[in-house]
Amino acid sequence: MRNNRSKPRPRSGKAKLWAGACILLLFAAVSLAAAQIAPYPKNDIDFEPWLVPSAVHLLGTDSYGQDVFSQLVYGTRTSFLVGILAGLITTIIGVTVGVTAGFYRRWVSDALMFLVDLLLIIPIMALMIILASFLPSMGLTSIILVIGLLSWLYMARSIRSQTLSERQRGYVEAARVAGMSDGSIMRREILPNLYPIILANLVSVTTQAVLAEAGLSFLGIGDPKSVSWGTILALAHANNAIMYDAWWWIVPPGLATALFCFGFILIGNGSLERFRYKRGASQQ
Amino acid sequence: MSLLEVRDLQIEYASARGPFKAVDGVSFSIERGEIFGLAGESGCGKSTTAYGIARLLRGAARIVGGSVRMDGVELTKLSDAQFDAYRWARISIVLQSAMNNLNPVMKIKEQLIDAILAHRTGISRADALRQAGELMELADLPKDRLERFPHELSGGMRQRVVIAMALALRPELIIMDEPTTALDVITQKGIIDKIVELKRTFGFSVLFITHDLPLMLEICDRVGVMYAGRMAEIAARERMLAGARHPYTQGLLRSFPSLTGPRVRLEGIPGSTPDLVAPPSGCRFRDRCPHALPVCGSVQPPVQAGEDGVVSCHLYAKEDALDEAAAAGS
Amino acid sequence: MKPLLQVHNVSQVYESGGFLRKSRVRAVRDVSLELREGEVLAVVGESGCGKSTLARMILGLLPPTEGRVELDGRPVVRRGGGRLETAKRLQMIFQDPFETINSNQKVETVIGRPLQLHGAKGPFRDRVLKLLRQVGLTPAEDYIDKYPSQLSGGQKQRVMIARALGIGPRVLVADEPTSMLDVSIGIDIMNLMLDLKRDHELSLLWITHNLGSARYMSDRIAIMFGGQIVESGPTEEVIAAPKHPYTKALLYASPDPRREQVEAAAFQAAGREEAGLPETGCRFRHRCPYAREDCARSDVGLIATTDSGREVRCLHPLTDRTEPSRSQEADRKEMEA
Repeated sequence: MRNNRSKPRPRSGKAKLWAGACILLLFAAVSLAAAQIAPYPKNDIDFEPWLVPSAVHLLGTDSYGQDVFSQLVYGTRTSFLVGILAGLITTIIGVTVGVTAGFYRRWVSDALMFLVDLLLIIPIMALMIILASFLPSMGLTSIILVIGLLSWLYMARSIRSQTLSERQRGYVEAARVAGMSDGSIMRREILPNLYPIILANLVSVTTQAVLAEAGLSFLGIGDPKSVSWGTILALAHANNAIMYDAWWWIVPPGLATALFCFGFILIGNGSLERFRYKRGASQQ
Repeated sequence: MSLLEVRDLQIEYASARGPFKAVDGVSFSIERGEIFGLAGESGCGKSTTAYGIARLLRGAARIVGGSVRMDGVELTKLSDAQFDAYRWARISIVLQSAMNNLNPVMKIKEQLIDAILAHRTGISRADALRQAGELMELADLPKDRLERFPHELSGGMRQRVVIAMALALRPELIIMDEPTTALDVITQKGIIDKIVELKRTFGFSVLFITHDLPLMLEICDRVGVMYAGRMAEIAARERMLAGARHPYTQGLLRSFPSLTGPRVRLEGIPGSTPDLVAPPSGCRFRDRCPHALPVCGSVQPPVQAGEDGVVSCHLYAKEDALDEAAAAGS
Repeated sequence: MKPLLQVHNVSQVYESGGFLRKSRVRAVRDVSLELREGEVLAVVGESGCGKSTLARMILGLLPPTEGRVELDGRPVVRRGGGRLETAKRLQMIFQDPFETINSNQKVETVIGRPLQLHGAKGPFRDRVLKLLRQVGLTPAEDYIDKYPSQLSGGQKQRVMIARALGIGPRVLVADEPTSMLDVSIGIDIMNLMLDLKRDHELSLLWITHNLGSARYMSDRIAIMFGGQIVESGPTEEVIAAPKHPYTKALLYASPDPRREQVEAAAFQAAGREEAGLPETGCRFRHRCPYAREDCARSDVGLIATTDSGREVRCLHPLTDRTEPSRSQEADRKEMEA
């Protein structure tokens, strides 16, 4: 029956990939060309406070008299950087540790998983707040490091369990018979099969990093000097923007955050579909 | 009258690439007390045919044409409630995986009693237990195994239990889908011998499905060989041993290395089975057939019934049958 | 012919369970084999007889609990420095091509990566094409860029054979490579392996549960039961006149409609899996129609019976005149008791 019970043909995922890429490219362009796009300099407080959106101030001004649109444009750079770098750090550490621990299954692996289990019962945001308050200065680097260093544990855990099941598969044994070393079996045979799960993790880590940065900034633990979507929201909150009906101060940074995460999720789902489409139904 | 008459059965599967006929116009009959074999390779539709007869088709598969008559009663027209009177009581089924489908947390005894009570009303638990004991004896299983759990029995013993359960209500037809494929040959031999012996005692008929043609030729009275949803050939065992007629059957028989006779190179069958969503015109075997004629590409071979059985191949077409087929095809 | 692959008294003990109730299963017991240059040796046995464990030990994928495996007088290793040298000489065709082919890689990578590993320089695409042609996947250009999901089971197995062949081994171990395939496809794979064996002067270890395929493929045969080799010798001789009752039972149970039926009743006992496997003495004795009292003696080893290299692990090897020692009736009584 194997031959003719055809499975539903997977979607090619091209549309999602394109849409996601467009969104992210837009944000990348904005963060690169922030100085050119923003009509006014960063943290410029030369204007009237609480101005409603107009042709001069596209998104109005905040209670300090800063142009919200300019702040949003500069904030893109911070959020983009945090998302990408924290995601990268997490992925590199998480994949390396996860695959190695899953492949070798020694006490190191057990110890690692014990640590992860322990951390799992502590809410990550609380942990970040504690860590952040102990660090002498809360620069951008510290934020990226805090997020990156805490997130990899979860990633390592899911990569490890997937590696455990992959290493039982026949192709691993076949690779060993062909004479491949442990390292290249992990890198070249197993790793590509983990691509879907790595991607799923990468997407969630990146979106979480952006959200965590916004959250930390919102709580006032972030870097006070830098502008990010989170700091804009934090300031809006601290100055009772809602009470003044200053929607232009709150909605744009919220939407930007959501759109950015959405772009990442589109890319993630799209490349998953692409992966399945190209490799056929045998990849589930 | 035959016990079971299958005429022009058509079973369709819905797939994402469009519907296809896993069984496309299959006809055969099973006589009382006969073991009829249905052979063929994966995807030929043999199991689907059996599921269609036993009304076990699930999900995307459904019967779209043809008839299945048992004792003159059209089974495909019965409601589910009406068919329940046939299930187990007149038709029972033994699947390859059945031995793994026994409930792991219930003793064999309980499962046999439940099966008996479920289908036979008005008998006491004690009677059911006594009958369970008799069934164990029939299947050559020591009675103390009734008190065991399935995992305490070997695969062969579990499959014997399943066969015993299928016999519980003395059905007239037992459908066996690869009943011994998962077992070792020595175990298989014991079970096959047992089936033949029980058949002699009780006179039921068996529809025996397997890909193992040599096994089939050892136990079946008549054999039908299916290819790509169609019946290629039906012949009595002796006739087939003397020489199969359809090129596919010939190829299949050549694919099994023998334990006797000179060691000769076997050629198998080149190529692979056609895609049923877009089946080739004419004969579906033509691309793999060493004797293919020009006509095979355009005209579906007519089904020819005769003394020797049934064959569906242009090599044996009588002139008039060929003309008829050509007329029908144009 | 000199021995290429030598298996010296290997055993494998699996331990399971906690430290209070540890159970030990001896899956393979003191097996010795020799594969000579250019020959095909079949190892035949039913599921659970230890043949796949033996294959894994021979390949070096599982270190033997006791004993050793040598290839050209050198040990078989799968890790560290010697692994490339072992891989170069000893390759394997696995049972399940659906599982052993990495579904992530195109055919070119599946075959090409081991080529690179073993020192192929420069563009290896041409060599992959040549290998595809050698295993009958033509036109090779149609196959080289496909993913495994676009191939049938038989084609996948051919790709795996091409991959093994590309490394240029001298010994090929095949563990039931046709059991997942349709028979008409399986026989093509067997023919292919026989052709490759002839053209590339390979030695072949053919592991199977099917006596028919063993006869088709092999020059010599070794029958395994309960982790031991119970009989070995030239294939035709063993199949024509088995000396071990288990071999005879296996032969009798293998479907072959063209053969005369023989002694049906006597071998029903052989199918009684529930009789169990004794730890000492002859392991087949509870199921053996010819068993006698002294079969429980613990020193039943392989006995050479003729100078043509036949060996049998039986105190009372079968001759033409051997009569069954027990009846079915006695069996049934024994089981009821």
